[in-house]
This record gives sequence, C-alpha cells and structure tokens, in this order.
Amino acid sequence: MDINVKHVDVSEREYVEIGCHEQDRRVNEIIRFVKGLDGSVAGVREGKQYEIPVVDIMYFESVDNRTFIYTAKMSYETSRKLYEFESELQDSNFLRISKSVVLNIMKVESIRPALNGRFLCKLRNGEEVIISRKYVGAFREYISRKV
Amino acid sequence: MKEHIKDNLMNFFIIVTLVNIVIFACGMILMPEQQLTYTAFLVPIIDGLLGIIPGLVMYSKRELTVRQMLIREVIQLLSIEAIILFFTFGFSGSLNIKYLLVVATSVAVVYVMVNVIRYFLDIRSAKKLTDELKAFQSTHGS
Repeated sequence: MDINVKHVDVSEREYVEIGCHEQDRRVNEIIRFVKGLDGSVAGVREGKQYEIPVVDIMYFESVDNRTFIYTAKMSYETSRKLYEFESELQDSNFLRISKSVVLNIMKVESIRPALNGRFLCKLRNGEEVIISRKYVGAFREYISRKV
Repeated sequence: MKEHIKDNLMNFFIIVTLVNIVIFACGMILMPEQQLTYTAFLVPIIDGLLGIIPGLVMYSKRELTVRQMLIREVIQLLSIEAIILFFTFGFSGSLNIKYLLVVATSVAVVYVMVNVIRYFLDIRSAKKLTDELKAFQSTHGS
C-alpha cells in the first residue's frame, strides 16, 4: 500500500483520503484509527460496550436523568452526565442547545425557526433538534466568534 | 431572563406600530371626522405596555412543549383582550357593542400580526445562522 502525504494550505480543510479496491477490514481499521484521533466516548448498546468516535456523534441527550449518545444511525447509553460532555467536548464543536441536548454543530445541515423564538436544527441524518431560546444567543456567538 | 425581556421589548415596539396603523385604519373607516388631541399619541404606547404584561408575567424557565406553548398563546391572547377591553371600556359609563367588537377584533389582529412579524424576523435570523454555520463548518472542517 502506497502512502502519500500532501501538504495543504492552512485555509483548507485537512483530510485523509484512502484509495482502495474495496472497503475491507484493513480499510475499516484505518478509518477507525483516524476517527479515533479526535477522541472517542464509551457507550453501551444492548449490553455491549462500544467506543464511539467523537466525529461520528450527532448529539448527546439527557432523558429522565439518563444520558444517551446519538450517531447517524445508532443510539447508545452512557453513565456520564451531559454537563461533562459539554465541557469536555467544547473544543470539538459540541455546544449546549437546550437543557437536555449537547449538539455537534458540525452535523447541522440547516436551521429554521420553530415556535416562540426557538430554532430547529436539521441534522445530516434528517433528524431535528430544537435550540431553545435561552441558548440561541450563545449558539450565534459561538459561530460568529469562530468564523 | 435577558432574552425574555429583549423579546418583550421587541413585541412592545411592534405592537405600538401596529396599534398606530389600526387606529388610523379604523378611525378613517368608522369616524373620519373625529378630531384627536395630543393625548391620542399615548394610546399606542399604553396599549403596547398593556399588551406585553401577560407575556412578562407568564415567563417560564421550563422548556415548553408545542402543545403547552399553544395553550399559553391562547391564554395570553385572552388576557390581553381582557386587559385592553377593561382599560378601554371599563371606566366609561356606557358600553357600545359595535366598538367593543371592533376593539376586540383589532386586538386579535394585532396579536396575530405580532407573531407573524416575529416569525418572519426569525426566518431571517435562521437564514443568517445557517449561512454563518456553513462558513464555520467549511473553515473548521466537517
């Protein structure tokens, strides 16, 4: 397997591209490794423990004192609290958008108004989550500060 | 809380503008020969203040569901109707049903219009937010 490293300008996004005949076990291993570089979070699904790459997480939600992790297709439960993820993953562009949701803003497709000053975020997997009025200002400030 | 006060302040100015339009439109249709004094300028401001009282009082830190929010909107509209009608007709001796209906309808129209205007302002904000988010995502890698 050849390895090419290409330097890109700081204004461009960094990326890893894999050229392969088919996406086999070795390729999946590389993908897992690269995704793991941004960190991972432990979650439980049907009694099994999984390490979920942070880049795959859409949002965290707290329901009745239980915390859930949502990826594009799966959901996992974790024993950790929502505020822990909020502070720990702030630098990975996770932001509190309501009392019960911490959102990966890189997974947002579009935003539209909901009732009463709230906004609906449409995610890349088609799901929608609400930014409550209280957090709209912080959301706007976070984005505009970093653009 | 800060957001809530900002919201109500915005509602106040929208109501004042709309009440001005309503007074002009209803006045031209129902009483075109009526002469007004300077105190007439206070009416939209007083109506604006009365109109935001229920919204200020019914502030809730809880995140309401859509159903709870709709119920709150209805209660809010009924409260505003009661307050405005009381201050408009409560202190006068006679009650003219025609004018009562005109004022009640105007209050409902202004209430709906405030929400429509707020919704259009929110659409603009949402579009701006989406554009900023896209710029953010492209510079921070997605």
